Amino acid sequence: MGDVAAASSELVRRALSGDRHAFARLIADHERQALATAYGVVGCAATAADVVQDAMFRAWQRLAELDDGARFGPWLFRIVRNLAVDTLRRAPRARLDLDRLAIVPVPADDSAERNETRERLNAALAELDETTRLAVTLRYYDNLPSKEIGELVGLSAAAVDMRLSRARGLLREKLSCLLPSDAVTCAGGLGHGGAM
Amino acid sequence: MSERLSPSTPEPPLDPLDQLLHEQLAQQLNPHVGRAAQAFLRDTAARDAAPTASTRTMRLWWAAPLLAVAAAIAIFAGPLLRFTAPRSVDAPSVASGIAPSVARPQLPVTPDNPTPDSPAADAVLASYDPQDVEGVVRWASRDEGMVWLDDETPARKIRRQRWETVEWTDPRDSSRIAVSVPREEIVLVSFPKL
Repeated sequence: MGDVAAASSELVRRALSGDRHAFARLIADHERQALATAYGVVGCAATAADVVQDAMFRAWQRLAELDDGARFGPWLFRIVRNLAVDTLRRAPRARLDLDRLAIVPVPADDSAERNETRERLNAALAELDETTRLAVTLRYYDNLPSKEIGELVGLSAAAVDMRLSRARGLLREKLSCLLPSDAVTCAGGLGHGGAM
Repeated sequence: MSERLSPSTPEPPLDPLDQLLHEQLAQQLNPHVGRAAQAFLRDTAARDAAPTASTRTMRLWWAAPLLAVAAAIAIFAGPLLRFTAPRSVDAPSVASGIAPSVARPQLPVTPDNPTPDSPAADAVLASYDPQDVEGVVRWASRDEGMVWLDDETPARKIRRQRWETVEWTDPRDSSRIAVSVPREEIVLVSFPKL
């Protein structure tokens, strides 16, 4: 058992005995993975954060169902992914809430250029299938190796690498105008927004 | 002067696409890191008062007092409103509202209209059995940016709004009744000092 798995196992044991702070530590340890997962499904950072928050409560309520504390990460991944998919199914309501919430304030120095970059990226990611998008967000946000991504999404490491390679090809094409060497060729507006 | 050699070859520069993806995802998601643990600790602390409640009960824990108040309103206000509503012979049969200027008469205390604090009222409340009770909580959080606490600790100001709604069917006339209570709180989430 690796150090991370052993630490998870110990924290799960303490959480099962009612130690909320041990569970908060578990949350902190897995929050980036959870955010990357939720974002990979819903395509909106604010909604992803809400999904993660709900998922953590659900995980706390169902912690007794976890057979192996060392497998907390993959178990939480499934909870987050399922909740994110449910959120997408309730898209009209989620969109409504999103309009009302505007959870993350736009920083004062957030230029139109930054917004456009973000929108272009979200639009490009939205063209990937969900599993590939998850692989991209887990790799580029949580820096997970292909083997661990594969364990989460049910693919071999080689299959993950292949998907990442294809994704990079498509993203390079879609985002070429944002990359230094092709910046001068940038033209045209955005096709459409992200998934949400 | 001797030159210190690097123990390993320098890493190749990051591909611009990789760099863009790293930066953009971090820019979008990093502001949310830490929210889940804070929310979990805060909300579970609030729920500690009823640690053994079932899931169903916990979901509707807030509904019980609301339901009692709403039931009392429905029981006592219903007959009162019917009594005060002006009814004209020429008016359409479907009433569209209650005239606000009509003086409210003193109602005789009867088994149908007991005073709210009478034993009869208690008996009516006790026998009132709402059907198909449903509770819905909607909430929204808005990050209102950085603030500084008294001890110069930086903190984020979060405005949380909740709408708690209880719906039930009145067994006496099968009408569907809904009561919503809005709540708002401001939470300051401090950052650890480095």
